[in-house]
Amino acid sequence: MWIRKGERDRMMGVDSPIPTQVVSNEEFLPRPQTKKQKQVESLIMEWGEANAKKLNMSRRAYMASSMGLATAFLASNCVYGQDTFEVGEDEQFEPRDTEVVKANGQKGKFFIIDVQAHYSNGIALNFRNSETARNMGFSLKDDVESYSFRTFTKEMFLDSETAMVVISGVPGKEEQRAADGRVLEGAERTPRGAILPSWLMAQSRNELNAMAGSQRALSQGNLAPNHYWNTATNLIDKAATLEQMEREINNYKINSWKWYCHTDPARTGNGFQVDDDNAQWFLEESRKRGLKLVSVHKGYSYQSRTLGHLANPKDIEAAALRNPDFNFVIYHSALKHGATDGDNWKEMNEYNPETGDFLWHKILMDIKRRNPGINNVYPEVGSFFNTLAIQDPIMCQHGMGLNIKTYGADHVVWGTDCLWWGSPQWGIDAFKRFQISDEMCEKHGYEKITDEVRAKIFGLNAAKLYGVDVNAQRNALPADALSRIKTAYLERGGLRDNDYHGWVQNA
Amino acid sequence: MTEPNWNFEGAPPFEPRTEAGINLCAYFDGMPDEKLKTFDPAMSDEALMEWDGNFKSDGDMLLPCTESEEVDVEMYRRYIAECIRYRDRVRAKLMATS
Repeated sequence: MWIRKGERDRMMGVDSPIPTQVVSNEEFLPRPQTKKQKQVESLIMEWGEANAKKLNMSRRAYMASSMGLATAFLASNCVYGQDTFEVGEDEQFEPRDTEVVKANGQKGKFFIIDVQAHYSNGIALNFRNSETARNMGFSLKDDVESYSFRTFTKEMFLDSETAMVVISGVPGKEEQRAADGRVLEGAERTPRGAILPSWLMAQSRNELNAMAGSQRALSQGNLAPNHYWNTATNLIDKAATLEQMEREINNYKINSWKWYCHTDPARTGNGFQVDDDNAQWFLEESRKRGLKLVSVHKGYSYQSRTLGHLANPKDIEAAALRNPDFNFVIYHSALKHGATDGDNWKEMNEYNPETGDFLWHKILMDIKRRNPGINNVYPEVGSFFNTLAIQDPIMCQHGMGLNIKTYGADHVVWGTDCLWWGSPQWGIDAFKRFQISDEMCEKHGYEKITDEVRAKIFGLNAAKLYGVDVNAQRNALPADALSRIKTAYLERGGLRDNDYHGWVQNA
Repeated sequence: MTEPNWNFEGAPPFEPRTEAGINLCAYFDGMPDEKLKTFDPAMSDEALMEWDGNFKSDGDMLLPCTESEEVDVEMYRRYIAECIRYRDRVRAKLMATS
């Protein structure tokens, strides 16, 4: 039985500021907690409790603070024997939460845009019942959908330094017409339910921006070349696809496409490739309509012989070369992280400690190595940086080091895949502190991670892709309603929940 | 014993093929024959979930990258019943060549 990590932690009496094992985003089977991860967890609990007592704080408050996070990174460094995270012993006792209050887009060092943010119907969350939430006067409905969306807002904005989010799609097509030919609208378009259809992402984006009084959210559109299919001819239904394209671009005003090549919402019996004829036709039609940004899931896939291989990033090469005016953001940096690997996961993912390569990240790196002139491919790091930081910090140094060395610091894009990982703040803190060792830089030619590099990855690169004026946003956001809500939330004692919503084994 | 190279995924579909169905077939192709032989269709839903081990606490299966729809116990039962019939058809031939 798989249970949510947060549920597992509550059963085990664990309250950790960082996840103490990799959680599944439902794109791979969760691996068991390793011995080292267990050691990290034990140290966090031992040190955290002692530190909280010393400061006369509750464990809950301590673990939700920047001091708790510092303790967690110290524990990781201790167990893995590397200073992957730059953190001083004194930080266990010096709160930095006021920085978090101020940051949120304007006064911190970094303007953070999370290009891979999801919320999911049905996640069991506690925000609705918290004293803090009740005192804030939020009108909380009982329906699961708004419940989850509000938690998304809390965990992304109130509990983290994220300034802007891109609400990122999950596969699913919309029904276009009723039986009588009437054009469907809103929830009617997904009559069997859907996690994040395009219409809902756009609606949520508008709600968030209206509530904030500023632009805090962008949204993607799920339409892909295999969503509308003529079963009689076994060919793409171009008329229906164009109708939906017009809707998503003009009505929903989406900011990027989100593609999953290895999925089959139209039940065609197959997926597609970014460089196949239907995808090229789609790109040409999208070009005519002015949208030239494609975010595509690569990596995590299933063992299906029919569909699994379609998540391999090999098709990006030809598509990027053929469409130099498009930008392709490669989600998960193509980390394969197989569905069936166990204790020997490194071998099964062909991890080479001498080169730092592993599946299918190497294929993505090789595309740039073969084509140094390619300038329109961007590795994204959601469920890549945070997964590797928890699974194996050395592998994380390789993964990020290779991304930056190969594609350049101006081409690596921040995403988290939260809410699977709970509030993204722990990942943000991890990357603020993340460093590649001198030895690995010397041996592999990696660059040290500077604040300039962090600033690009955290938000400046995504801002260019999405046309966000960072300076204007830094001026606007401090005065918006969301900033005021955040200030009130923190002043009233709002605390980040160390509650991770992804799946782990119920051991 | 070497596990035969099952290909339930490639067998003619017994119902309109969906993404979840394709992935579920692939999942059963990875299930050892000895395990499959212990499946008892009379077991309760709870017992089935325990027997398989890859269900979530929300009642659906954790079938990676089945992004468009969930696999519930009812769908699982349909597919495993058909998978058993498939293996009964091909077992002797595949065992001879494996």
